[in-house]
Amino acid sequence: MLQYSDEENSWILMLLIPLLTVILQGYIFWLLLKFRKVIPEFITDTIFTEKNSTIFRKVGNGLIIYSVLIFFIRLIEKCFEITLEYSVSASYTLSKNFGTVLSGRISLLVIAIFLLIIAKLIKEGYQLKNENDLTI
Amino acid sequence: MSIVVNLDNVLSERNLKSKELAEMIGITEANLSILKSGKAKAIRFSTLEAICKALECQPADILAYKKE
Repeated sequence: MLQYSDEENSWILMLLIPLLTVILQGYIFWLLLKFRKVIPEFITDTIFTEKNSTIFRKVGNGLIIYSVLIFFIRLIEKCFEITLEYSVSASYTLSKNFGTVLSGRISLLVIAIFLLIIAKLIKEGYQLKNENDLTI
Repeated sequence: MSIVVNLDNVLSERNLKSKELAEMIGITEANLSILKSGKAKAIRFSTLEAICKALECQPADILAYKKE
């Protein structure tokens, strides 16, 4: 259990960070709802549409934003935890936790990049399909 | 697009309807309409050959380049 010795900083841990986390979770849920629209089109074989490309791009960009923000939030959270618990310097905890927190977010970043690549492929596919359909 | 399709002129010269030409060359009327309206992105040599054969004309009679 955390011991909040510093009164000035504890409100950040107690209120701001959970609030930001909830907002970000809501954001990721909204992205998932957006992504849900793609599934029926995959079933009906209408994958190469501009709409799908836009959804993939938006979800990819959203995941990048989410992973970057959640990275900083977790980093700050961990720094506060250790600084308050063991009364060590913030720079020490920052360097100590940087790798740990980063490794947890890398997979999300990779997924986001893949989604952006898929968005680009769908866009290219849409253009090729359009061209093929208009070849008489 | 700078390539113009003069199919309408050739058709009227031959007193042919789009439907008849579509049947002769074996494409749908919708596709022929796309070709006539200039919305087509490309035309296959086989289609061009069929049109030329049906209308007894040269490709240049159907297609023309117009500077934009």
